[in-house]
Amino acid sequence: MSTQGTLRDILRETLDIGDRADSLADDTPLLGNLPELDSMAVVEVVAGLEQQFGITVYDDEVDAEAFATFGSLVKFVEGKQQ
Amino acid sequence: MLIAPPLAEEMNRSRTLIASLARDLAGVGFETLLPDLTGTGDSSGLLENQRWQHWLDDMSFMASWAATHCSLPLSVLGIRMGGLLAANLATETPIDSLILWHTPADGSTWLEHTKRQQLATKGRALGGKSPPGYRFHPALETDIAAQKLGSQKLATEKVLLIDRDTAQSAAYEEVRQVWQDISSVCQTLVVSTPPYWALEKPVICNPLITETKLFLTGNVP
Repeated sequence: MSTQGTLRDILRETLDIGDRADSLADDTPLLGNLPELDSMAVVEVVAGLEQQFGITVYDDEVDAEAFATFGSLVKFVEGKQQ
Repeated sequence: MLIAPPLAEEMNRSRTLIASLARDLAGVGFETLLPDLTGTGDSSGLLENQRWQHWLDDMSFMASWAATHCSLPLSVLGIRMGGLLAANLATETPIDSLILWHTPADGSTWLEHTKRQQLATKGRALGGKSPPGYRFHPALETDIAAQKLGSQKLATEKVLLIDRDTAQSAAYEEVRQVWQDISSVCQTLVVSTPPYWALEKPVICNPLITETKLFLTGNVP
């Protein structure tokens, strides 16, 4: 599955947003747009990223820049995979 | 059934699900006890003064109370870190069965996870609203970090470990084998649910409630 597809599923299952996950496009804002995404939920999403993509995310990388939009989170994950 | 509750904000976010489970169990004749551990909820004391042993004493007291006031054999459900508290309780207090929901196999993992969340909140790096921070005594943090599932010899014959995905499968399998060898019939189960303890909106996980009810009712003689 593509990074987008896997990420969409992580957000769907972690935030319990159902079909809303299908409408996430690269320019869809995450923080401030998904009310489910507060600091507790973000940490669960990060745990999901680490598990599903086999990456390690450091505490100082969990910031507003990575979680700004769906596209920025895809880029963040792809950057960690390189 | 006695519940060993999740800690800190995770308890607030799990409350709707726990209430729903308790209502469901009441329908099949089970009483559910949900204590506010000392220093949490409506109980007296300050959270920052609490130690692991205080909460273990709370759970022992509740188990004794249940033994004299409730008719069915006592089962204990530990949720998240409450699962490690429940496993500790079950080493010294004989109980009919032990159920663990989404309990970290290693307490230090939970502590790191919680600290990461607090960092994200403190730095306001993520903006928006955030749950309040909770202050633990350093000695409590040391105790939490030292908790490991599987290190206990349980005084119960039946154990069910439920997780929401396979992230801890290897660790759970190790725990299952240890408990199976030294004390109990132990099953593990993955039930797909959202991480209800981390979501602000109330989440009712019906498959989780169903599996728990099946396990409990299957155990009634």
